[in-house]
Amino acid sequence: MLRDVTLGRFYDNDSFLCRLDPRTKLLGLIIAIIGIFLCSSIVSCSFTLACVIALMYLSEVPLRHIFRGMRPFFILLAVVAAMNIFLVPDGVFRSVLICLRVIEVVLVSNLLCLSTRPRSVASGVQTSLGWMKRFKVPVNDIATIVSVALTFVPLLADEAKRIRDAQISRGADFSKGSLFRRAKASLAIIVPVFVSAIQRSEDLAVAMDCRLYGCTEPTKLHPLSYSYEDAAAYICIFTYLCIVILMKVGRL
Amino acid sequence: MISFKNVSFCYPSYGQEPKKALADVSFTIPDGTFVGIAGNMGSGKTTLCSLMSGLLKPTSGQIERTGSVSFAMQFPENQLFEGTVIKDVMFGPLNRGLSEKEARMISEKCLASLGLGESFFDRNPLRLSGGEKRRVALAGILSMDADTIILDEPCAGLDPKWRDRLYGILQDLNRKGKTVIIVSHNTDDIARYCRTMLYLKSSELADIGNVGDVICRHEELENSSMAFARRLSEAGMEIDYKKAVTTEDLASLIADRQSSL
Repeated sequence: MLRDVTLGRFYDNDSFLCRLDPRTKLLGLIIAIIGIFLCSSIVSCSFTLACVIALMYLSEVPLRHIFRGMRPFFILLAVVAAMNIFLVPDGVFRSVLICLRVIEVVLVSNLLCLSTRPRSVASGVQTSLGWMKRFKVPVNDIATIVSVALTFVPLLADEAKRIRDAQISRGADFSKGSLFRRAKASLAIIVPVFVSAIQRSEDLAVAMDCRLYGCTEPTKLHPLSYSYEDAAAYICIFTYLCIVILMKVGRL
Repeated sequence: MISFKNVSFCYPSYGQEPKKALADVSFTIPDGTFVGIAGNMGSGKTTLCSLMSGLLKPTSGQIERTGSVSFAMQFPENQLFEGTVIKDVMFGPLNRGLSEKEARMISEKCLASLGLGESFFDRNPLRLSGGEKRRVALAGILSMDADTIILDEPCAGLDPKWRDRLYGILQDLNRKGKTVIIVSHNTDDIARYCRTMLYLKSSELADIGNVGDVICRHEELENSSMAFARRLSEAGMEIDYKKAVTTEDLASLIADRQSSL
């Protein structure tokens, strides 16, 4: 399951989605999620699903990489579906709807992670929230936090796997026994990963301090710029939003 | 015994071609050998150790191993997690099914052999110094009492005194019949303590054999005694510098030269 984490893992290809400005993709993600949660019928859900499939095609990322990030959500989906089927009137329809929504949201989020470098996401956040600097919001720091967090997620996942292997070579078994026993055994992974994460963050903070982080307003090596593709993407995003709102109003 | 037959291994890679870490490697390590593995960074040493210990499965080829294997990864101090030193070292023996009394006995012995006396037993391992943490982690590996012990750069970060002491302990274990496999960039250490050497180059097994022979065959493996002997030879002393694999070899070469004058 540790290898299934897609957060912060960039799939390097020259697809349409990959070339888009991160600001376009961030706004697209927000609108896509709003659209997905506005859907309350099978027709509108099918429309948003078709849009997600189109995005998957445009990303040119192999399906196994996109769906790998879905695996950890299957347990959640199973629990939600079961609760809806047995506890809610009209449960089958509701559980299908909820599962579809969750799957779509996860797929769209995975696509953003796979098609955008963590640094670009941070840069997009920094530029998009630039107006907040007038209100003394530390936008640069927020962007750095996003960038570091996205970069560290796959590193910590790899670290957790390494520590798991190390404990297995000391005879630990994480796959046998009762749930309580397994939870207790997983402490042998959780504690070292936390210690390592805290140690890494301290080291990083010192290294950033040594390189004068925060002393001046940083300049950008690669300033963000929009292209014609971004204009086309914005048209698609707002068309999508309009269609979803019309479907909602028209009870489709 | 560990035997590799045409073993290759590729790491899956996101959005790129799978990374080849080992290509068509074949060798056999008999029981009771002290083996040193050398190679440049990224040559596949750690992958080889993970395959030998069974943590990774080969992409192609066959691996056969007999007896139990314990593997100390690089920076084993990162795997410490228990509240006290003694509990952390006992983790492995308890997983092996030993009683608490037996596990404690073997753990205390391993800690003592690495210079960590009773005063350390109830201390929090996460609050020890870097070198002490390393020794606790290595005690945890030694307490597994496996037939084959694989250590990936065990001496990185240890001072010379503890490096020699650790190699001494490993030599003792080897004399008692254990197979010891170490990864090291230091060919002085490998020449001094190991009998067999594996040399990896660009994910391939470049050479395997007697330590002295392997070091002689590859200029890039030249260690400090051989480099010193070469300088003496270049300065006019008639010695075969390639025979100076260890400091002892160098001393005897110089002694022989002096007696022949």
